[in-house]
Amino acid sequence: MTAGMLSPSLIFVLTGIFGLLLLATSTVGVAIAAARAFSSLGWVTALPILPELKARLRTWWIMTAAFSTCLILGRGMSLAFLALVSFLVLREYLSVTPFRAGDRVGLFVAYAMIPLQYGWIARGHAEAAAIVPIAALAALGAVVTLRGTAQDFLASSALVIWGVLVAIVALGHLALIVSIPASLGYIAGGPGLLLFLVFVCQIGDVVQYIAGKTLGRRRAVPGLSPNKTVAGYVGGLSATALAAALLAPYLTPIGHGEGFLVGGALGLLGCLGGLTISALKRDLGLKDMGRLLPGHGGALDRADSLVFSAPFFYHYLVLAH
Amino acid sequence: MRDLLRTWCHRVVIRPLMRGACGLRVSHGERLPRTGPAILVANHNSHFDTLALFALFSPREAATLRAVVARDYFRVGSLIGWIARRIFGAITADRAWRPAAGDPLAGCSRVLDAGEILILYPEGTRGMPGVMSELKAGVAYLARRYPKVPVVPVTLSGVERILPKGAVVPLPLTVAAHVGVPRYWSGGDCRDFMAELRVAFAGASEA
Repeated sequence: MTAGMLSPSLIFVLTGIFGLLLLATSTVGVAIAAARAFSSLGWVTALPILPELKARLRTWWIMTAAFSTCLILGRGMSLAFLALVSFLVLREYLSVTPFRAGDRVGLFVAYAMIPLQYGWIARGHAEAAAIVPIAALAALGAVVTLRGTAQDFLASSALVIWGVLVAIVALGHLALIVSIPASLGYIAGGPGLLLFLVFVCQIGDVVQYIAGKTLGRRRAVPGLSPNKTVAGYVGGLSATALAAALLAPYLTPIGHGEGFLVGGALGLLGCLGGLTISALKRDLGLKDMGRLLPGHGGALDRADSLVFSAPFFYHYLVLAH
Repeated sequence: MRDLLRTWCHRVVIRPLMRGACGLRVSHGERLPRTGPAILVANHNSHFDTLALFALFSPREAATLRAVVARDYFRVGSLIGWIARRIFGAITADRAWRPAAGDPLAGCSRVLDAGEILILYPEGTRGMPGVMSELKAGVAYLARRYPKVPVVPVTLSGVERILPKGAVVPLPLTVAAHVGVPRYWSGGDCRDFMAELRVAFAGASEA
């Protein structure tokens, strides 16, 4: 896929996304100016959400610019971008997990799975996602055989396999989606499908965050994620379903009605992904996975809604269309 | 004349490795001394500590950095000794002081007199990961000798996981550097100064 072959609907949606960002940035700018003016008049205005929104938006601009540039530059650049995402997610995961000196070879195995997975996908081997976790387990088996001691094998290999599954195999489905060739029905090709998935999941996250901060009272799952509210989940889920229903005919072979249902499923799986990563963070005693993305946290804090929705979307497309 | 090997090692290896592959994150980078003379003191767990400290500076600034290394480990004629001297501008110090050797801080004094930035690891060796060993008092004697030179404590975290003592191959994992408030010799006792420094390191690991 080269720049000359980009579909008009992809360009249209990308333009719309930048329009949304512009709108959000100016709204927050006006809100910050208004809050400053009111507080200088002596009226009490406490809007602690504003500075965080500003930081989040800044990061959104950078992420959106990098993502859309790679989409426009073609499949090779998209795969390189997604491999970098896998690396960043794996690095921050391994940086916070309790590893011991003897497990260092296991960490190597995890990193080595990135070129394996993306190399295979680049060569059109879609089964990469199925073989990579097994390859990782085989490598860990070889390592434990050479070390000759089975102590803590399950715990340390489970740590590695967890990282490989989330950072490389699950998120690697984004690379499989972008590799789907443009053909009958797939009007905007792989880039259109990837843009669709990422946009509907991320808009769900954004609405979930804003609704949770402004409307939410009742905490949905206090044991896993103290900041998530029922209102947030309802808002995020509806936003994902509506955005999917609206955009599906332009970027995917799916119609409006089916798009709504697929969007609902993507939204639910997005919530489940977020909660699964929340459970991991809670268990490790962390609020965020890292500090790579100011305002958001780590790379996995931003990508957690894609962990289950990307594999679902890929297999749904392959099986149903 | 600029040292091309040092500058390019910094540009092509040290900064991409630490800032890129290891995602080095700096808090309070504005407290770093941009010109010498100054003394950087840091906790020490890994050979990568020195790389992390160098990566805090631009190639031009890093050309004035000089690490103090142990003479018995970084031997003349060994590869690691050559790298330390050639790339990291290392000066050597004796870990065990012998009266016959004369002033143990003469090398450090020369660096500060030349207006350069000295890197000192007061623990004296790479300690246990995450545990601050007992600090050696050399830095206090040096601060007493140069009361106008700032002593800047830098707390490094995560570096011990990249390449712990005894490991051979480094791994890309995230690293953070917290720069503490610069301190000056305020009179009094060397023990007071070292206690102050210990507090600075302990406070940084909580922040």
